[in-house]
Amino acid sequence: MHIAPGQASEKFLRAVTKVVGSDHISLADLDRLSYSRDLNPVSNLSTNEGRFGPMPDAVVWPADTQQVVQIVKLAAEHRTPIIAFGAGSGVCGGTVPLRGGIILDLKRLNQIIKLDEDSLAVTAGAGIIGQHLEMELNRKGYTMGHFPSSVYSSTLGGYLAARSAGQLSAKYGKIEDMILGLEAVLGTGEILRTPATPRASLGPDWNQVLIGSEGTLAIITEATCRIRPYPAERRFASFVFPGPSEGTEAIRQIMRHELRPAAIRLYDELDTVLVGTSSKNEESSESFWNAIPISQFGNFVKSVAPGLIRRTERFFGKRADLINLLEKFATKGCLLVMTFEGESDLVADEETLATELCEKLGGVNHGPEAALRWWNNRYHVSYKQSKVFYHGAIVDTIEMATTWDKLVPLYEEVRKAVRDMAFIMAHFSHAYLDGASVYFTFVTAAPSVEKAEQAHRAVWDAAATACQRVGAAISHHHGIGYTKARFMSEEHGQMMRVYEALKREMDPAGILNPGKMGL
Amino acid sequence: MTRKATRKTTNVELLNQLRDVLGGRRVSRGETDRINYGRDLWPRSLLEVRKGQVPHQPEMIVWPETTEEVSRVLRICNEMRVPVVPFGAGSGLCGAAQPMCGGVVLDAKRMARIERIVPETQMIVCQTGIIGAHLETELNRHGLTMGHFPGSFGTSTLGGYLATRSAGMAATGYGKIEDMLISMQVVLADGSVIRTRTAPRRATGPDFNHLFLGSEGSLGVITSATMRAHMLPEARVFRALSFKKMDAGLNAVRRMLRAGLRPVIARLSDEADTLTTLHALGVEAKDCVLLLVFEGRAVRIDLEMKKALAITRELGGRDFGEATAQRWYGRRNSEQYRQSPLMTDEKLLLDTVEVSTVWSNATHLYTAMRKALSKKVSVLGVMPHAYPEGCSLAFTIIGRAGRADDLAAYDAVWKLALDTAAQAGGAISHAYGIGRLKFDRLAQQNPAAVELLRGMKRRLDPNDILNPGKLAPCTEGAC
Repeated sequence: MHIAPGQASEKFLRAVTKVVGSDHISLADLDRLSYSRDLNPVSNLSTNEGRFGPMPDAVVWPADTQQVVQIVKLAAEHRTPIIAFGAGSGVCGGTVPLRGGIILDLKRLNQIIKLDEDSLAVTAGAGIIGQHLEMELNRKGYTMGHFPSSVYSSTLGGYLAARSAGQLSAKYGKIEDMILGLEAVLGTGEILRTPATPRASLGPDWNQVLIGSEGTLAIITEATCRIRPYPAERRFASFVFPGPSEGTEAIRQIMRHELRPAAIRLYDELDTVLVGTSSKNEESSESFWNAIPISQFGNFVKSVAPGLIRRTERFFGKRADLINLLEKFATKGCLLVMTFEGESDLVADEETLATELCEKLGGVNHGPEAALRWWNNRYHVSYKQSKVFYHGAIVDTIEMATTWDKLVPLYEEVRKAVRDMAFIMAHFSHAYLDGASVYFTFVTAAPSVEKAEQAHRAVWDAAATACQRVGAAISHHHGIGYTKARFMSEEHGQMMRVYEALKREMDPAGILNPGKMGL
Repeated sequence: MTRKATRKTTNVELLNQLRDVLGGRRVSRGETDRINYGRDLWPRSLLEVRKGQVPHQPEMIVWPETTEEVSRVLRICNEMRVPVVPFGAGSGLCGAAQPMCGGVVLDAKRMARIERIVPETQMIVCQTGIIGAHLETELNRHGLTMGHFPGSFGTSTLGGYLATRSAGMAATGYGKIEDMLISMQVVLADGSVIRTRTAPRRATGPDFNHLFLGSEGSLGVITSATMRAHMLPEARVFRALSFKKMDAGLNAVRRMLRAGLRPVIARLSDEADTLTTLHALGVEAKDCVLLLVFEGRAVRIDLEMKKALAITRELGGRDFGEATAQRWYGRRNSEQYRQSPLMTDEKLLLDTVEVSTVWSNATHLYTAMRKALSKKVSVLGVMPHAYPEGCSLAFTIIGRAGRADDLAAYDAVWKLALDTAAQAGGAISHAYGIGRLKFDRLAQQNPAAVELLRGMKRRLDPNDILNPGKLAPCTEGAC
């Protein structure tokens, strides 16, 4: 395979080499190729087919903020794009170098700079891997409480840039709630530092402007984050509700009573099959993804192709073998799993009331096992899903958020819009006082990259239309990147003017991650 | 050419155009109104008033009732390059609502309509001119509370809270104003109306709410907001405790929050504040008094209080019981009114310096501030808001006034206060905002952030009509 050389000027690359040293810049094809994609499903599929999109001209590994400053200044001068890169586990193409330029891999900025135990605050470089940070904190008796399923393959800077939310967000908050102060390099090379204080009234909060900007406004190099004592106790509870309406009502009541479960997740009927509610014997404790031989998954998905089914029930009617397989694990109803953690008497109180509320609302208590199993497998699903791509199918997730009054309508509308095109199931995984997120997983046939791309696009367009009709956020925590950039004007309306003004102000040369976020 | 010159020639035309939009009764250029709207509660302005001066008067005051009217007013003013100062209830303490460059004061108080309360989503949508206490009363009728109780509760508006990044007395339990905001509508200088969208959370770019929160009227006029509310608590428990040293009290609160307890109020007075403020409010205790309030489910708050008391005992806290704290709670909002005789005493001046920092620096900041300020004024110290990572520290300063050099002395004390705070690692404002009072220090402390703000100001308000002379100072020579 031949990869065309990059467009960046010799002079620029020489200057960058001088900044980082020749060991920390690569123009090698393999590196350029590896850094040309993230984990968005279309890239995933095309890579498997041996096809590649836009390539970076070079990959650069700066050692510290000062080097980042120098590189940004050079890039501004040479009008060369810079894409800040963490661990590449984004699923929206946020780091794909659409217009070439250099990938700035920040993983060398991985130091824990300061642990302030009295203030429950840690300062670390943006390139630190989530799990490394967490392990270091655990060793000292703390936790950050941020657990995206990518925790092994994602960085603090990535969390901030993409506005990440972890599985225990109900207790520990989302990434924006964990930030006290930031250090970031603007597109001019100027360093912006926000004071690391629990709260201040000093004009706009630049932390919250940079968080979620996905590398388009600045490159985040360091952050001071809130941490918490490692919990003394962890409890697990599971309930089965007749349907999503009853289940989401239970979650609403729990949030309304100001309980703070660490995780609170409700699976719809199909997703419940995937997770499984029972743990009585080994066999049935296996998840759906395990249960269906991956080699057959392609067939499974092909049969879901448009025309073959109109609704999932009919699909099951036509594929009795699969239904049987599913029924073995299926329970009637929606599974709610909860975990509680903290000081034991506080946790016991929360679990007691949550149980009471769930039972009052028709939830059947299934004890701790299903929640424990979720806990033990909580990072696995993404890894399991990746195999789907080898078998003629494409899988992606759609995560949206809305207020309680619109939540079940959103769930129903999106499914209705998508179900002729793909197999779709959902769970509700992040809850708030005023609403919750819903996380759809869809699988559709991908006989070729082109067809997969078309199908993927069609599903997303249909889902986005439903999302807009109901009134919801198009992304709860995966971000926008370029795969969802086309939805941004509908998402923000006239507010995009403000984003554009921020862009011109912070990145006048337009070098930071160009072509993303609908800018 | 200065702005003033421009304005004189267009004054009549401006008046006519504004009257076309609002009618004659909602535009005033009466002298009493112009004097009243020439300042907020910045104590420095009080010094000027005592000397018979209100140096920055608006030319007109307008009272729009809808976003559409605000938009039309801004369009007119933008075309005529007339400054517009958004105004809530004027209780700001930093001069943010002072019409530095004259122009039009836009009083939002007639925009007080509650558009929608959705109890099941715990949301309220309302216009921003509503007074905090009115908003709370309305929520209470639906079994809800916003949990936002600044000392100015009866004389401040929702728009004011948002524009200054306010925090109330119960911020430890219910959060600060930014935690309550879901979405808002903003009118930009050119009259265009933009809004952030309602959702509990979104990962679709920057959080634009946070650009306008705290922008103090310099980037846009916030006309409507969707706020989060909580269920009214079923019960409330109180306790007053005291510690020999401030340090021990700070430590006790820190440990409570670290353990996952959530008092709605954890307010620690130093010896001086106990003997003055708290005694005046009927709290008969001594040393450093900690007032604790928990609210919520009875079972839960009893448990939390029990755990909190165990911590205080371990740290040598002395228990003054429930009734003492309850007495304070009943009178808590009268603190500022009780201070007002001091404000009318022309020989004295009272002000508050409030800063914030992380716990590991709290005692250091407290000591440094008290030591530096005590050389010039009387100081009462309080830790009014606590968070798991740190706290705010507020210093009531009382100085002598009534002399020719009052203003210079006032400025000198504040310079000392802010310099000391910055050197001791504090953020120079916790919840009162910047206004005219702290801008210079902010610019010195964080030039990159101020430069960004100015840049955004130039882009969103190229004619510099929105609250000029404040967060982003007037163009050179403009006023």
